[in-house]
This record gives sequence, C-alpha cells and structure tokens, in this order.
Amino acid sequence: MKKLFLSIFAFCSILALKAQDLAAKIPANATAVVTIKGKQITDLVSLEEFSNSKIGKMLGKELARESKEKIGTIKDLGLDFNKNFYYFLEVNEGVFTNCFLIPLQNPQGLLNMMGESEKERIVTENGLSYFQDDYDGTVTLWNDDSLLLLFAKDQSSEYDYYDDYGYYDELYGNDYGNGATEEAVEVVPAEEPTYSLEAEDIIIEDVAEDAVEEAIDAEQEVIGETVIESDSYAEPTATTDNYYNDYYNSEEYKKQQAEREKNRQEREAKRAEKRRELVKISLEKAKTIMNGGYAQRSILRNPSYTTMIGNGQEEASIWVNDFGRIYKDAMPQSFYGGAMNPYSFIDIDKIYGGISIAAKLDFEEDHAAIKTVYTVNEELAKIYKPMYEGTFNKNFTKYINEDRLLGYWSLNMSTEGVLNAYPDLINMLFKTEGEKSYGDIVALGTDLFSILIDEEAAAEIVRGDMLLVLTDLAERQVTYTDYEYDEDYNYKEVEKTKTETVPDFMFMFSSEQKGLFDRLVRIGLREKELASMGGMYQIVKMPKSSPFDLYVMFKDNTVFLGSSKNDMQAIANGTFSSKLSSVHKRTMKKNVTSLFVNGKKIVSEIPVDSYPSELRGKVAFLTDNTEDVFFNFEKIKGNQMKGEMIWNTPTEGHRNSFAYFINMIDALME
Amino acid sequence: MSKKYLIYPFLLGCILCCTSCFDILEEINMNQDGSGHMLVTFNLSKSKTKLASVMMLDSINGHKVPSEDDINEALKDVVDHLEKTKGISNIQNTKDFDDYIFTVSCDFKNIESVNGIFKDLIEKQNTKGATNFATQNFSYDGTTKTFQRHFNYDDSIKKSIYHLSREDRKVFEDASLIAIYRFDNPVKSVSNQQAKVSPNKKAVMLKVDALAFIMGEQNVANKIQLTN
Repeated sequence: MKKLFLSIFAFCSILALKAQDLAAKIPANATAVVTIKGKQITDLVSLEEFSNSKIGKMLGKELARESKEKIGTIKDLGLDFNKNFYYFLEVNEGVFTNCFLIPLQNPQGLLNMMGESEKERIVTENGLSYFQDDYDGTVTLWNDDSLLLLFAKDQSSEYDYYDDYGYYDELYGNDYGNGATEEAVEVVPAEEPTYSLEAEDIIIEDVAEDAVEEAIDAEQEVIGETVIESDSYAEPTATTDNYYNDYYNSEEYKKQQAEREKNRQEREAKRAEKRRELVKISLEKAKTIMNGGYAQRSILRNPSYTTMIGNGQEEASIWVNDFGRIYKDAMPQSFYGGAMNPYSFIDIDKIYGGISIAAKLDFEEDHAAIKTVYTVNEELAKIYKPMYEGTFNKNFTKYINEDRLLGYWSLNMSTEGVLNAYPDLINMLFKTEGEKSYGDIVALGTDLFSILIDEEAAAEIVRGDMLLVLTDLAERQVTYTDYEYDEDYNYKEVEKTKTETVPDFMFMFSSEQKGLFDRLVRIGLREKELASMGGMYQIVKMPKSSPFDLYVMFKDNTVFLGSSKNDMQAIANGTFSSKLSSVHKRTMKKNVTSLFVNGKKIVSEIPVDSYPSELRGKVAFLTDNTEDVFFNFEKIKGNQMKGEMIWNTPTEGHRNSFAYFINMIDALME
Repeated sequence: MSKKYLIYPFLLGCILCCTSCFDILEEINMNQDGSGHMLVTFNLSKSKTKLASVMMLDSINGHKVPSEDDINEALKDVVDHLEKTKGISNIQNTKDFDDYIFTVSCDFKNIESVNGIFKDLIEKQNTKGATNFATQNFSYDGTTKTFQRHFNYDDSIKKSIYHLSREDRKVFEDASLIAIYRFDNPVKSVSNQQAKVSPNKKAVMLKVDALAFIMGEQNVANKIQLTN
C-alpha cells in the first residue's frame, strides 16, 4: 500500500512539473519538436560567463543596437533560462505552422526590444498581450511568464501560382493553349532560312530546326506573358518579325489575354482571401496554444514523443513524428489523392510510414555527443535487417598501428543481404493499386535481377565488410611542368619538383575469390599496368597528377590497396607491427559503419604552411585543444537504428565540453 | 548565356578550386604584314595534385568544380567561337589532364581579328557591369610599325575580388600573367616599365603578378615601337 501511495505521489509530482513546462502547450499532433533546456545549459556555462565571452559580448552589442541601448546583455532580455525553450512545427492540409515557445522572467525585456510602431499595435485581452503582422500573419503573443511566436504558411497555395502561367491550361488542353502552339508551328515556314548572325557574318545552317524551336518559344511566350529579348547574335528577319507582330496584334490573342487576366485576378482575389483567413486562424491558434486549451492532448501524451525523448539530461533534442503522416498532412487532399500527385505510382506510406527520428545533444565534461534514434516500420525493418548483418573481418585490425593512425572508416554490411533485400524493397515501394500501378512491371524486373545475379557468388567477390585507414602524413616529391625562357624569350617546358604533404592510406575488403584476383593480376602484368614486387603489385600507369603510388595485394581472404610501399611490404612479409586498442576493435565489429578522426594527431602533423595564414600562429593551441571525433551507426535492433557522433574535448582549461566550444570560438575570434 | 562564354566560369572554377599557383601565358608572333600566330596557355600544373583531388568533388568553398566533360565542352565552345570569328584560322587546342595544362592557338589575318574574338564578351560585360573595358585589346599600325596591347583598368576588377572570401583570394597570390610578343623587326622602345626586351631586340616579355594586376598596381598595357 505504501508503495502504491508513493507511486501516485511521484506520478502527480511529474504531472505538476510538466504542467509548468511549456511542452504542455505543444499539441499532440505536432510534426516536429525542438527542445533547448535552459537550466541544463546555464549549469554548464552561466549567463554571466557567456555574456563575458567574445561571442556573448558581440551578441550584447547587437542587442544594444537593436534595443537602442535599453538592453546590454542577454540577461536583460528577461528570458527565464532555468526553463525549457521549444520550437514546434504543425503541418495540416498543406499549412505549415511554426511556433516558438519561450519562457519569460518578465516581459519588460521583450518590450524593450520592440519599436514604437510595434508597441502601438499591442492588443491586451484576458491577460494576454499580442501584435500581429497584417500581411504574413506572424503573431507575437505573451503573458507574464511565456512568449509565443507563431507564423504559418499555406504551401498548398504555391501550386495555384502555376495557374497564372497557364500551366494547368496547357496540361488539361485548354483551347487557347493548344491553339497557340498549332498556329505558331504552322505559320513559321520551317524550311526557309530566316536567321543570320549579322554581327559576325555567320549563317546558321540548321535553320529549319531553329525555326521550329522559335515557334515553340513563341508558344512559351504566350503562356509566360513575357517577351524574350532576342540574343545579340540571332536577330530575327523581317519574315519572323511579321509573324510575331501579326500574332500579338491579332484579336484572338487579345481575347485570350483578357480572359487570362480575368482568371488571374480572380485567382489573386481568392489567394488574398485565403491569406486573410490564415492571418485570422494564426491568431486564434496562438491564443489556443498559449492557453494550453488541450492539456489532455498535449505532446506529453504522444507515446512516440515521450518514448523517444523521455526526460533525459541532454541539453537539446529534436523529435520528428511519423514521416508518412507528415507527407500526407503536407499535401493538400486534392493533390495527395489526385492525378497531380507525381508519386502516385509509389506507395509513399511504405517508405515513410512509421518512420520517426529523435536526436539528443549532450554536453558532458569531456565530450559532446549527438545521439540519434531512427525508427522505421516493421516491414521496412525486416527488409533492412539482413543488409546490415555483416561479419567484420578480424584480420583488418592486424594491419593498423594506432601510433600512426590518423583516422579510419569501417563498413560492415552484407553484400548477399543487400542483393537479396533489394528486389523486396523495390517491389514493396511499387506495389500500389490503381491504373498507374507499375507493380507487375517492377516485379518482373526484380525477378529477372534475382535470376541473373547469384547473390552468394557476388558475396564471395566482395563480402561487404571493408576498412579504410589513414596513416602517416608523408612529404612527397611531386613533379609539375614549368617553363624556362632563353634570352630571346623562346621557352621550353621543363619538369620541376616540389614537396607536398599527403596522407598514406590502406583500403581492405574481404573476398574469397583469390582466383579472380590472380586472373586480373595476370592481365595487368601482361598489359604492363602492374609490376610484381614480391607478393604485391604496383599499379604502374597512375595519372601524373596522383601524388602517391598504389600497390595491391591479396592475403588472408583480404584484398589490400595501399599507398605505402613499406606497409604493404610488411604485410606481405608478415612483419607488420600492429597495435590497436580494444575500443576501436569493438567499435568496428559492432557497428554497421564507424568513422574515427584522430584530431590531435592530424592537427599536429599538418605542416604549418598548409594552414590558412590566420591560423598559423595558433597551431600549438589547436593541437592542445583538439581531441578525437567518432561517428558510429549501429546494426538494426528491432525496428530501430541508432547513430552517435562523439566529439571528445580536452578537460584541461575547459570546465566542460560546452565551455570548450565557447572558449574555442573566443580563441579563434582573436 | 552563350555557350562560348563557358570557358570563363570554367577557368574561374578551376582557379578558385586549385588554391595554389597558376600561370596564364599570352604569346603573339607578329609578321610584318600584320598577320601572325597567337597562343594562350593556362598552366595549372603546379596545383595538379590539389586539382586532381578537388575534381573528385562537386563543389568546394561554394564554387562548382568543373568536370573533365565541362572542360572539354568549354574548350570546344572556344574553338567553335574562334572558327566563327572572321580572319581566324588554323585553330588548335591541347588539353593535358595529367598536368592540367590547356592551350588554344590560332593564326590571324590581322590583329583586328584577335580583337573580334573578345569584342562580344567585353561589350556584354560593359553593358551588364557598367564597366569601361576597351573592346580593342591589340592594335598594329604597319606604317608607323607600332604594336599596342591595350587595357583599361576598371575598379570592378578590384571589387570582384572583394566579393571572394579571404581563402579564395589567396589563389591569386602566386599566380602570374605572362605576355610574350615576337616581331620580325627589332624593338625600338616599350612603354611598360616592367616589360623586358630580348637581347636580339625581337621579343618582349611582360610578367605581371595576378594579384597586383587585379588591384590595379600592375598593368598589361604596352606600346611597342618597332624600327622601320
């Protein structure tokens, strides 16, 4: 019983806390929500610290300028940095509503930022103050503790503008559109030469084709109601001039013009009415949001949002709702279900349905991380899964020496899985009902693909796991062509050399087809494209612009392609000195793909001359303050895929990773 | 825009992408009767390794990177344009994608034919950009035996470089414009202080730093007086 009471108490406490949070004002059907947690951020870097930083001072100056010196720092804005800031997007029937929800300590800072004309337009009613832009309907609405900015755009009306250019008239075969084309093509005598490049005394030979093109251009001019100036080299002759003049002066053309103008004005009136309606709706919506009149249906009751975002300690987060629903909501019904939908032959719901994304930004003491969760629908997850079930070749890690490692990129896919999944994926996308369905045709193609491709055999050539490793930055002599002049200024081309710094790399992929490799090598040797070098082969015919040599080799079911002769020879002889931490080995093995950049090593090894001049004096500072960067994308689990980017930051001189970024900006702004 | 002008965005693209040095050579061999041979060379060889890497990308620093096809197309347009220009013949072009050296050469009946090549482009630029570039780049007076390289500096050149980012501007730091003119008659005098006359007096070379040229500190204009 005690446990039950405690649980009820805890639940009520959470609800009470949530009620104070502006998230309670976000509707449950929001398409996307961005959260910035003020308290979390100001715990990392206080407002005072930020205001004293260079970027803070710059912002302060800008605020002072905008507010006519009424505001000097970000603190004076009157925002409540102990609470959460939100942005959300709502999409409905082609109307995109953008809304910012900002917690306030007091509204005075906001009033200080306003111009006199804005202040004059302030309306106060029922404890709410607001003003609204008459044209675009942007609403700025606030009470004592919250500020709301809302602007909506009706994207569905974008399609209406095509009407002004007769797009639909032509599409649906309205009389005047087709008539113009026919007449234009008929009138121009295509076989007679009508154009000459007078300025340059050049006659265009292919006049017939040009004349037809001009006739089509004339039709486009009718549609577009614009007069295209003729190019300087293509002056029309008298014959064409007469045609243009006759056509544009004809009664029929004038009648069409009048009709078109009338239609345009009607459409413009409708658009203006729609705009006025949207302005009205925007204000009502802003008031509803501010009053939180839908407490039972706020985003906090959306299971996808609460599950994916939760109540973690991250500093910021983004959540995007079901992509399939967004697509449907973004399209006006007439378009989505109608003949105008250009993707009607694809089952959009199969691609986007049930897909949502959540990303969290977290600043820790020694690293900043962006963690992303990508949820797909069950059917898609079932298809994707075998594609990502690769087996990472452990031998790859034997050919890395961490002491020289600048970075790597690993891929752990299954070629067989991809080739098997590909036809299913395509069939699923195109399996639609109705007249426009290409389902059967596509299925025929994918069946043929499956018959022709032997998935297992293909996977023997390239299994799907591969690794690219960047090792030392080495100085190399590269040649270039210059000129030497004799005393009479006759010159001859001479080959000179200069030193450039380029990284060495090694690319490895698993393969069981040594026979195929050997065959290719034999052809390469015969054609003198390759040179044998004791177990490995040098690619002889490299482009002159290549700053490195390339070597290939097959060993231990692995194909090697590398630029370092020493490394390749060591691998061939079995004397390669390997060293790699278990963290990297695990990362490569468990992730579908992973990327590692050894920031400190790269920064320290790049020659100072290669830096932009303004950074050359800061190389030592950059070396001390640059750490590793990781990017990993995990194998699919259930119907979720997870990715993360981790930016390690030095702890010396930086209280935490957020302070690090502020300090770095300060240092680089010097 | 006419296709024939594709060469200019292409060259700008190449130059801005290569982030290192390049040379542009303008070479004219004048005959006594006013006819002659012209060769223009774009030598990006010193930047070839960077160019080879950059050309694998679609764009760099916000500038589109021209592909080999774009370059071939641009050179073809140049040749097409030359073929249509009155008094121009024997048009040749070379392209070396290993060393990134591109040349275009032609014979001309008289120096006015060479002016005709760029006349349209310069006129268009003057109208569009309200600039004052001379449409006459070269002149040769057979009676006084005077050869002139004309060039009116316009502040728009300086302004255009200010539109580029600081990084992009660096590409001009080690770049040069080199002009070599050869004559049958010996050279008596040259007006450009930086121009050098060869010991046999039959050739003039003028090397100008690209950045100094852009900033208006150095000029390619030159009046060369030949002996009768």
